[in-house]
Amino acid sequence: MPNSSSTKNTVSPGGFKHYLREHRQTAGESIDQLWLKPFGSLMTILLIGLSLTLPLALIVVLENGRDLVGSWQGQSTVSLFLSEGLSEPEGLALSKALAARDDVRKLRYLSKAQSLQEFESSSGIAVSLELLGENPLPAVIIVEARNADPAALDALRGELSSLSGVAFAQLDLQWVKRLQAMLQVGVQSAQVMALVFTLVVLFVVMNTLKLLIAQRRSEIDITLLVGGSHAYIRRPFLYLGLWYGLFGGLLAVTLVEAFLWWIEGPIANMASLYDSSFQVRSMPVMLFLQALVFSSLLGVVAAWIEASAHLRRALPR
Amino acid sequence: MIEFDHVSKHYGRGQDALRDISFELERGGLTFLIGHSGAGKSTLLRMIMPTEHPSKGKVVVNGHDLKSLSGRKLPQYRRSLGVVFQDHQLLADRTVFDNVALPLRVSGFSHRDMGRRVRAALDKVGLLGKERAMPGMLSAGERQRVGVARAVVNRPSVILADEPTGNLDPALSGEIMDLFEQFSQMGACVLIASHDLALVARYQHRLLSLDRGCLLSGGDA
Ligand SMILES: Nc1ncnc2c1ncn2[C@@H]1O[C@H](COP(=O)(O)OP(=O)(O)OP(=O)(O)O)[C@@H](O)[C@H]1O
Ligand SMILES: [Mg+2]
Repeated sequence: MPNSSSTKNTVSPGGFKHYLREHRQTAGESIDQLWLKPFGSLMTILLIGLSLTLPLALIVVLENGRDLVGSWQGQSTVSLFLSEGLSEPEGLALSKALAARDDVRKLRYLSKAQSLQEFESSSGIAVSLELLGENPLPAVIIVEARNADPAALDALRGELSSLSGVAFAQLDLQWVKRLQAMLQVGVQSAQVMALVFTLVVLFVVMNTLKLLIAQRRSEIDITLLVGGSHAYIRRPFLYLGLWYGLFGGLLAVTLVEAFLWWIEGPIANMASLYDSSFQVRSMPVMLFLQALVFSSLLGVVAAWIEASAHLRRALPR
Repeated sequence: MIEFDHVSKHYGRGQDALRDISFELERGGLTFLIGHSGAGKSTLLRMIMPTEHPSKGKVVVNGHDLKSLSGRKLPQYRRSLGVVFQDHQLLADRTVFDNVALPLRVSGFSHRDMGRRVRAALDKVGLLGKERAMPGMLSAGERQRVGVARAVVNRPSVILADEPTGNLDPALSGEIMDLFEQFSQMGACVLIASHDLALVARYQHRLLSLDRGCLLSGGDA
């Protein structure tokens, strides 16, 4: 029986459940599509994966670098070497006063004798006071600041060095500052690189889909003619883009993990030389997920652009 | 139901494919569109699908001015059409079932309804049992009948057929024509382009006769 109401009928006869099943079927069919041309699909996925590996690796290295700098900052302390003339009670009084300050988290007072002990235990050299006649080491207050930011630490050092009873204050942060500047450069290059490779991935997926769409041109035309909506026609290509992006992303993540595993040993070695317990961290789960979501999204967006461009040009509009 | 209002069409530099065509077709009627090769029959049908728009004039179907149909409205409108193409336009890499099911699939029919309707349509064109065949394995006439099944599977309110019996023997042609008649009796508006005058003569239906883009007879404007 002719169905003259079908022009007004906007609700699909099968309803939402059918819609979901339709999606699942399309998703499955587009996976099959990947297998239809395994070599081409592999090349596309490889290109995407390799393009994403570089920026992702850089991001991971930078994250690790930030950890490293952070760990050093945590250790950042100001050492106050007290004047020769300051007596032990005076030194203790000074450290008590400093401990009351808001910007001081913790401090440790080392008398002249304790300094000597510390030196002996850390260097392994026994100092013969008979030989030296007198303990040459000053009393020291080691101040751990509440704010580990290099600029704040530097200001604190300046302030403390001008206190009476303090011979000089020492802060070893030049390193950290330089490293931070380097990290900043790294972050910015990573951003540029990520942008460039994002465009590369977009281009790769769009180009692959352009070919696929051209092959299925007549199918698209007929589907349009029997009333297939643009969304319906785009759907399989969007899924294809999704799979390309997802598998490319998985490849990139795997390559970066492999890279981290590869450099873990040498880095640990180097860290031990610097007396640091720093360890290469593998990719955080969050970053792992972000990378996959991002690459999948890239694939979908690229597919959307390409399919929409074709539909705009398609003969029966 | 279908209304042509002073429609002209010219392609690029060539002469006009259609010249100032006006006519109106009612619901529940079957009309033959006749004329020699190149007269403009396919062009006229394409204005209704619409894969082409008039250079001048307008085409109105079911109250829709086809030129202004866009976005979601166009696919909705096309689902109310059933089209048999002059060159079948079957998907070579899909089974007969999938080809016939395509109009149902895009409108979101459930699997069960889809199977039932596809088998009913194939039964009507005498191809029940060929669901799993690929179009390449069929004869020209069988392919044409698959095209007919696909056109009617959605129970459209407008059926357009471009030489639907071109490759069929007289007996099969008659069966297909009977099928179209049935649909028109149930309220569909059926327009069939053909140059098989012998076949056309067997039926007492309205004729639109085209000659080099001009409507010779059958128009009402
Ligand atoms: N896309 C096109 N570009 C240019 N000219 C075209 C196009 N389509 C059709 N024509 C011209 O329009 C005229 C009518 O063509 P049409 O296909 O409508 O004829 P027809 O009546 O269907 O012929 P046939 O019976 O052979 O199928 C012809 O002169 C043809 O050359
Ligand atoms: Mg023709």
